[in-house]
Amino acid sequence: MSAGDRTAAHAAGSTLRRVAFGRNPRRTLWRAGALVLASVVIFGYVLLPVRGEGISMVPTFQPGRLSLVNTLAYRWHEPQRGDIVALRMAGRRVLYVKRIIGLPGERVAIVDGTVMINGQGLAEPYVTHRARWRLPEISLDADEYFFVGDNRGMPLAQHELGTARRPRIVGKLLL
Amino acid sequence: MSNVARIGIAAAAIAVVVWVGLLLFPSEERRIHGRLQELARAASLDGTETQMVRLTKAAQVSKYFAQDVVVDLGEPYPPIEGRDSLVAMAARAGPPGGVLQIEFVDVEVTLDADARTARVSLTAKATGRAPDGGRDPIDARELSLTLRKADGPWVISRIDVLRTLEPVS
Repeated sequence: MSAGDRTAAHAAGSTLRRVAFGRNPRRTLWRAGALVLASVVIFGYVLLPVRGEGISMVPTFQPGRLSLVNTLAYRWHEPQRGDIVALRMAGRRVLYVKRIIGLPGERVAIVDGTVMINGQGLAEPYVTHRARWRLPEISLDADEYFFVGDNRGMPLAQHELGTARRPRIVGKLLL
Repeated sequence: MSNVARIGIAAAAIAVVVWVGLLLFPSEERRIHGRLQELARAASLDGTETQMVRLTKAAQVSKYFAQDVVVDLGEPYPPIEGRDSLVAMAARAGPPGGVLQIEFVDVEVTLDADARTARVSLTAKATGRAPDGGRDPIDARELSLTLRKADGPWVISRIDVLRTLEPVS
């Protein structure tokens, strides 16, 4: 290899190293490490990735669809009616995704598919098909919420719905 | 050799020693974790088993349960009492497509003071095979287990199926 060829090869190698590692490889390494650490913290504890399974939230949340659960959503305010939330089971690896329709202290019933809150019908524009579900009225405790999926066209017996207490709520879904 | 390199090598050596120690002398919690993972694998089916093999697997699964095991499925179902009843039901039940993968996640073990009884909370996931060959989630349930250790390995003496959402009756 001639001196000119060696110089050209060296220059090409330097360019490649600069593209791969930047002008300051140590700083690049620190930045990469910081990025990895931030990703682990954010996606491990703050924004939890979830993938939908099951049909209870159709059409709002389709099976196979990916989303994120914001675990800090309720740090400064309480869950609101209409929020789509993730509920933990034994832990956070498997979560229920449901919509809040009843708030603590309220009376909740379902009459011919219409949700009644304290005797008043609830407008639910996210429900596209409505079977004639019937649920007797219940009164929610001070820290109890009522959860139901958006797929109201399926048989009630096949749909998981009901009450759970505040500590079960992991966070709010970012759709 | 620089100090940084010496510290790195010492840390790596300590990590290896700890790892080997945990491997050779597992805690009771780790034993229970391992036992439950064995049960999940033993209870899973890949769809290629013959009926005879499935019956054999059901019998093998029985060794993870106490003779007087009680399974409380919650209302309105009556409890399943006894290992033989549980195994018989498991042998009769068949997942769609013959494929059933059982997985236990979020396993938390709490040993009682005597270290001969343990409480475990976990989520049990059951997955089958979809018509297109992909995964088809069947169900996921939160379980509370009671295990005991007599003169051998840990066995499950009670299973309570918990409700994440309390139903409205």
